[in-house]
Amino acid sequence: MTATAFGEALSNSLSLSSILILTALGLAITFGVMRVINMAHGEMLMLGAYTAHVVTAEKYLGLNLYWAIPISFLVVAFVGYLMEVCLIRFLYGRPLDTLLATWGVGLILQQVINLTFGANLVPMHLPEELQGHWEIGSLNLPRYRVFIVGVTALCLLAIYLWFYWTSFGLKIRAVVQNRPMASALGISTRTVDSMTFAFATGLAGVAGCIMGHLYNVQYTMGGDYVVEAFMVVILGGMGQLSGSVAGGVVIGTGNGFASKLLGNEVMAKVVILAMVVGFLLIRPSGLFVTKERAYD
Amino acid sequence: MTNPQSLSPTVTAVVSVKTEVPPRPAASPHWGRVLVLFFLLALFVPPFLFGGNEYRLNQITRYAALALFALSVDVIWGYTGLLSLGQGLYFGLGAYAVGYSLILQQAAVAEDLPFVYSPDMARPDYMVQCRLPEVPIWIGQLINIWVALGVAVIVPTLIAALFGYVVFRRGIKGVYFSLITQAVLMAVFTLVSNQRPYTGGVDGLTNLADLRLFGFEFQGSYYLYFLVTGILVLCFLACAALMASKFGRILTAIRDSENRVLALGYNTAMYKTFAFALSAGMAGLAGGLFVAANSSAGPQFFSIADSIEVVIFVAVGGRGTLVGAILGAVLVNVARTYANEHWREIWPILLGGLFVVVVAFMPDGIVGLFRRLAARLTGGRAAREASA
Repeated sequence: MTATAFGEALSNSLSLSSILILTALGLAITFGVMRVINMAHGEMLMLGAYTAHVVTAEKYLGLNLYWAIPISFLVVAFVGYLMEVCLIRFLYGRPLDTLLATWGVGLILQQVINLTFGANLVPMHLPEELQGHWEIGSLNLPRYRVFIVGVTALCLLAIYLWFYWTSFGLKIRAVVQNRPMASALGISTRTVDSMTFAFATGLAGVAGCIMGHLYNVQYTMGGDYVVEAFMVVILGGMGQLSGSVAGGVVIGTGNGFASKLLGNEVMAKVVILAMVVGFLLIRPSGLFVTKERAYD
Repeated sequence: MTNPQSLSPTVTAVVSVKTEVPPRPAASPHWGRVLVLFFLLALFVPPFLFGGNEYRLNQITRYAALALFALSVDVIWGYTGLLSLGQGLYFGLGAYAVGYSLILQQAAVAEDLPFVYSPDMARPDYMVQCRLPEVPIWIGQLINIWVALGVAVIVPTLIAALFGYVVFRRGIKGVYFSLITQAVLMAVFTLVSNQRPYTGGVDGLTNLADLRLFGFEFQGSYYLYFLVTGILVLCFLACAALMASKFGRILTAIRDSENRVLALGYNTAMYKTFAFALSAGMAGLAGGLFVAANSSAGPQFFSIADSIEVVIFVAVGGRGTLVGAILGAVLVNVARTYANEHWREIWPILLGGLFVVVVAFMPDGIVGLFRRLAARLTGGRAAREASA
């Protein structure tokens, strides 16, 4: 492997990892912290991408990407809020049932979008300053990929601040650690649940908005990402966000280098997925283990 | 107070409750059995409703194969409590085994060659297009339909046994099990779609020969339906016997509280592995039979959506009841066919709504509703047992 190829693989890995982290962050919260298997997470990405389309397309609002990111967050967070209030809250403590029910929600969302916008691919345009490359030596760095890494870092920072520096974050951690006790101390666990879920799905909206500018936007796009995102969360280890970041980096880097070595992106995906499953069979708790005393 | 005497009355009370109440048989077992018998006999009726309509006959034959698939999911999910989202892997393996057999037969018929493996045997069209010089030996051997059917059952069983052994020994269960099986399925789906020279790629195996066993043509008549339904009923009876036995009781006990079963000294990992392997074998057989009726096999069998859909068949009918699995598979598929013929666009929304409603509000499915109704009609004892 030459130095240039290595550099390319490295920069690819970096952006792949950021995308994986971005798509998995919402799941890391709903799945890792709230123990809800949101199979509609992929559809939340899709909704984010379509929101971005509505915001940026001349036909509708005609604004640019910088508007699309916060608007996608708000729109998808609202959808997530509705989902939590209308469905998920009846299913806490039954993770397998949340899996099936949210899959159903995903099917409905897909078809509603399909009927509204049609099955065709929606092309999206980047703002001019994000098009093109930066050249560093013999290495081409696409600007948008660098932008993605930046957005991911910002999202991570926002989550960190929200979790550890705000009183609401404190409440979330309290509810996660000991729900009855938190409730007894006057924390409205209902509000915490629904707001956390909404925030997590909102992150998926941001991810969708970012990915809509990178890949094809299609009403079925969600399914392609959700399984991998779950693998990121499981690989990292449940219950902590840093684990998911590590999981994303491992899988993203693996994909970046494997596709360079094999010369085939699809086969690289298969190989990496197989390796992740193999790793989980040997070490089911993932990379980072949170010590738990739970019996079952 | 640590006086042991103050504790003893409660202890003896608990013990006496446990010994004085033997496990009762289910409410009015005779009626239940008669109903199930009628249900199984009713499965053989539909072909007569459609006369010689070959299209409909093929359709209901596929339903019967899917019902067998649903039965396999019920064994692992409904009874053992393990939601495998990768059942499509076993269904797909069975489907491709039989699919390879039939496509090779078709190619051999076209060149007037016998149905035996040889290095220069006739290649199916897609292999010719992909410039594969000869049929790989592991595919070529499948031209014998009996080998293919054997492979369709044995290979999934072995894979599931091995995979299950590792997974369950490592204590992977619940959500992790579901997501890992799903990830495996996705890897296989990607692989199969990508390896066109061997698998036919996204198009899969098309233009298959008709199924012939003992030199007897099954296609295009009642016979294939009766063959598939006969196998379905046999599997149903075998599962019913298994679930009524001590082994089946242990499986349901694992579903309800694995730690207690472990504490009683059972090796739950081995029980789960057996149930998983059994269900995989049934899924493989279902896949093989499905392909015989469908006349094509494609990578969508390995898709995540299809594997989850089978779970909803079982949930609609009633998880943990064998009748429910078959009933759910038939009803959902009839609804799908009807919807596709009348308002095609609406079907995914209906299916999604079905997932939500059944899971959130009807966890026992149709059989559960029926039981509750029966309990209300007969009242008293039956109602207590149905709610227990």
